[in-house]
Amino acid sequence: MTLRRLETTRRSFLAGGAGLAAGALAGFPMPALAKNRPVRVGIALPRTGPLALFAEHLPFVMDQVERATKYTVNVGGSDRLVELVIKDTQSSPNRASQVALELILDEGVDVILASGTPETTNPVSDQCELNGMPCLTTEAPLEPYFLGRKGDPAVGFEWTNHFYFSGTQAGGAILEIFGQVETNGVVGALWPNDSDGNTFAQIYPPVLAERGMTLSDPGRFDMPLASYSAAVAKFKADGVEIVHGIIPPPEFTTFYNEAIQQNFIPKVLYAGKTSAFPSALETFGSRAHRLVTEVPWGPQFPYTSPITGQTAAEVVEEYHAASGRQWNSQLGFKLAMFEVLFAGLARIEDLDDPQSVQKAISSISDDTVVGRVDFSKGPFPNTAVTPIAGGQWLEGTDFPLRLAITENTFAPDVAIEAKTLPMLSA
Amino acid sequence: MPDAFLPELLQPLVQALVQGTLLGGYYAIMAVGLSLMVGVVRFINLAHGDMAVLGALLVITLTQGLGLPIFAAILIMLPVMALAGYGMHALLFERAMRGGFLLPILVTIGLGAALQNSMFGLWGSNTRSLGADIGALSWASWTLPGGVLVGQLPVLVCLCAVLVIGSLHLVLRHTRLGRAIKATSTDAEAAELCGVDARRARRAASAIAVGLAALAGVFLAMRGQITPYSGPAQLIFAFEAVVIGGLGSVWGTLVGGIVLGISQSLGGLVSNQASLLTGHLVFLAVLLLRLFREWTAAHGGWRASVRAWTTLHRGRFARRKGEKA
Amino acid sequence: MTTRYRLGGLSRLDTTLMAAGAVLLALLLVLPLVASPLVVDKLTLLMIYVLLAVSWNLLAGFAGLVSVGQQTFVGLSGYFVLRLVEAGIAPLPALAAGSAAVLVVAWPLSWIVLRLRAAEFAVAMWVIAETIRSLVMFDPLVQGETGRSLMTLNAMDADLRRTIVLLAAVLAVSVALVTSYRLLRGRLGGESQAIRDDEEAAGSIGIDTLRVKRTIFLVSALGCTVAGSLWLASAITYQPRTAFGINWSVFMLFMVLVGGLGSFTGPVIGALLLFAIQEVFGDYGSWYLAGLGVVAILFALYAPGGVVGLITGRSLREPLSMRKTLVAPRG
Repeated sequence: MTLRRLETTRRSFLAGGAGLAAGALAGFPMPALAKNRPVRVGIALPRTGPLALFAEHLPFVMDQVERATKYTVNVGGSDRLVELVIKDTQSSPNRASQVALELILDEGVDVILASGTPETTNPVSDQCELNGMPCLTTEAPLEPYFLGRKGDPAVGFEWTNHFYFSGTQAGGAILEIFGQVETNGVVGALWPNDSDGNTFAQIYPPVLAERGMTLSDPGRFDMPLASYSAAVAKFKADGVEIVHGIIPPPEFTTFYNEAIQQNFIPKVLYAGKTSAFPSALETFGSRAHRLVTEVPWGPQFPYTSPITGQTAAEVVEEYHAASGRQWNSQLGFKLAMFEVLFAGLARIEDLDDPQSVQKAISSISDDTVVGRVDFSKGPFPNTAVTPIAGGQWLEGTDFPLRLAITENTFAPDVAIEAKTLPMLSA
Repeated sequence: MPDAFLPELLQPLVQALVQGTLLGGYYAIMAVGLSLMVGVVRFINLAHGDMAVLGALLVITLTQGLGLPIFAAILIMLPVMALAGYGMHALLFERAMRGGFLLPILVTIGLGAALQNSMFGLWGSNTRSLGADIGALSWASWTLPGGVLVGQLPVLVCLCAVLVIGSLHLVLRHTRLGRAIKATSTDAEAAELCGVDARRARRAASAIAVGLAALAGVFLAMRGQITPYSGPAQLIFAFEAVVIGGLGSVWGTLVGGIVLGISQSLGGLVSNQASLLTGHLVFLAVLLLRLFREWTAAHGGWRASVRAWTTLHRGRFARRKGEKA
Repeated sequence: MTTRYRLGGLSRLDTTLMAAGAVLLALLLVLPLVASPLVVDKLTLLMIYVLLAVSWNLLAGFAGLVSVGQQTFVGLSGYFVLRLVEAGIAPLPALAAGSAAVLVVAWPLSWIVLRLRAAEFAVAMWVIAETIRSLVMFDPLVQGETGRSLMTLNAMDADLRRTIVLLAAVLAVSVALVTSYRLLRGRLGGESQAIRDDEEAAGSIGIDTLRVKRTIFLVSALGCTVAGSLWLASAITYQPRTAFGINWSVFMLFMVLVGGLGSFTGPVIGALLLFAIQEVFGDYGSWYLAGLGVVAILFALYAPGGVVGLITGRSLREPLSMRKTLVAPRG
């Protein structure tokens, strides 16, 4: 069904893009640019809806990329402009699929980028796979991306490439954090009925048992859930001291309010999809202190952007100055998405042959601002795994919250800053 | 520890009953306007839930956009929405009601689609909440004897439901407007003959219904979050509460809302996933039960109807035998 | 002296229309040979719209049953297809079998819901759609909110798949049009007309109203399920919340209401209109959907006969009318 709502289409972007192209032509005498057709890159992102926070860094990163590259890239020996066609998935998997099809059939793009949870990456990748379109995705853990699409680890996908941290490693990092705090080892699960929640429900119970921890699982649930009181009651009855949730900010708000109402404060509280985003935690004031999170990227990461030449800390600093808002890990991955794209474009031999474009992207082995991206070394074909650290939110100075790195098993390059502390119960 | 008053095993059950009852208060406020429309005006407004969301979004804009205190924002919003309800009835519903039973459904579905998507256009699709505007109220709680903890906000909402439904009952009983509305619902023509302005009575009922829906929407935004597309789900809850409580009875709607809330809450004990499902199933069971009762009533009580059914089929069976022979 | 009346036959306009329709559908069958993938995809969508509109019109226009829960069948057929494919059945047979399997649910359902009163039937169907969606989401296969793609279609060449889906859609629309025409011109049409005009009176002259309604309900459900399978085959992604979404009903209602409720040609015209509006105004996003709602209201209030009603007015005969007219013999 075509439920079309507002979206940034080619028209609205070209309003800015035309100026960009004109500027490039005025500044540089580049006759080659006029002759060669531009590279058309489709981008599918959740710009509105509950996943919108996955797109908030896009304008900043696009400015950075423009400053460094003028959106010009050398493909097959000649300079070409890169034209971006950005479409909004409205946080809906169905809409994402539709948007990908429009990019392929309507806009005639050469490659598609997509990012922001399996709800975005999976439908877009599936459309690309079915239509022979090279595709690069990120910001969905590798397992829900690959296994959620029923990928065969022996064969892999032909047209779709993905880089991000591994859910298994992230789960491991979170477990390490759980281990740093003295508890009774009873873990309460808030795993909704989506691909992330189902993946955790499959892989986590045996891992927890191995570590001598017990699980209190009220079962999968459809969001939005009107009330979490049943889950809270179960957690209290089972003596839960650690909560492991994979729920987005609005759901977390409902849960945490009800938990506080019921006087239930666990010693360790983790909510994937929420606790990585300081902006979503600010409404809780001091009650957000000591929440734990996985850290896919941050200013503490000792890597440099090949496009802008800045270190992770410098990128974060510039973002703070430009936007007045606090960084989160999506900033690094938005930038890395362009870094991988440009590295791939530079390797293309024949732009008019999708096979050649796909070959170029899948052969990437480059350093980016989030670490090394090497599609030949991932756990599955055409995937690359990036480092994942763990951390805890403490009272900050410039912003209400500040992240301290407390765990680095799967990100040995990142230095540990502190030990994880239990939540304050009052 | 006050927990000792209740056996360990019963604790979650009691907790679920209490939370379910409080949740039911919210459903009752959402449903009572619909109940009034169904029972009195004999008109189902399928955009009822969207009215609730519109009310909530107006309050959010007044507080978060213009910086008004939340109480003032609600006081401004309620008459505006009530007026909108009056206007809608005058402009759309009256004409639709003249066209038989098909048109009201068609018109209000169209109205729902128009409202949801206009709200999306104006407010965007991001989830919004009034939680931050009520501060500690969103998580503060009281401890009841027996160690049962109740959130202050859900308790206030539930008290508000009783208050609203009680006053609606009094208005319908003891004021001229209320009597006019009731008379119109029983027999519009007879009411007209007695000097009641049936048209005005219906419009007033519609104004009350929309105003109450908007109030419920504000509570929804306080205890959780809303999007422009939250309305249809709320309509379903409201409709379920109305049917469970018995069509058109104002106090019945409160009971219906509480039954719905408790069913969802008890379902949540089994599994989080079962929560909404249990509510739907209870609604369908009530519908089935009512169909069964109507059917048996039409056949002179259930014993007689079973007898009639068996004789009928015995007759058929015998006939078939006869044909063979 | 009694005058012997006979039922009115087809006018010349009617036969011309039928011939034109047949030619158009035949043209669509050869189109994939020349058209671009985009055009083929869009035409498939148009066919799905026609199928949905015809099905909904059978229900609302001929049996007087307004349902806002027909998405039950759209969503269920997609789910059954996924399940069958998971069980190892090839995607194309699964698409066909999935549609048929839905009748197993629709038939028992009809025994209950058809006894409800008008508005209750409408909302109860909606609650049933929500209930079944919840149940479907229990199945880990669909991955809850995230949904699942019909990736086995990958084994087939993209253009071949598009062509087959369009051909199947054209076939389905042809069958739907011919079947409903024959049904309604026949005995069932007369009975349903009587029920719609006065249910009690119809019952008292010996029409089994429940049987008539049930037949129409099941045929309509089948139409929606076939549309659901076709849609899954062309959109590939199955997400329960969209597949069981109320928007299907809003679209069906819009097409039928604007085209002409209870007329044979109305839903086809309505589907063409919705498709055209979507192509032109689709980029206005939510405002376009809001506009659809407003247009639906205006038609319901001021032109309940839809476009067909506006064109034919009161004096002219409606093209391909299903109304039984009596014609006195000449002379």
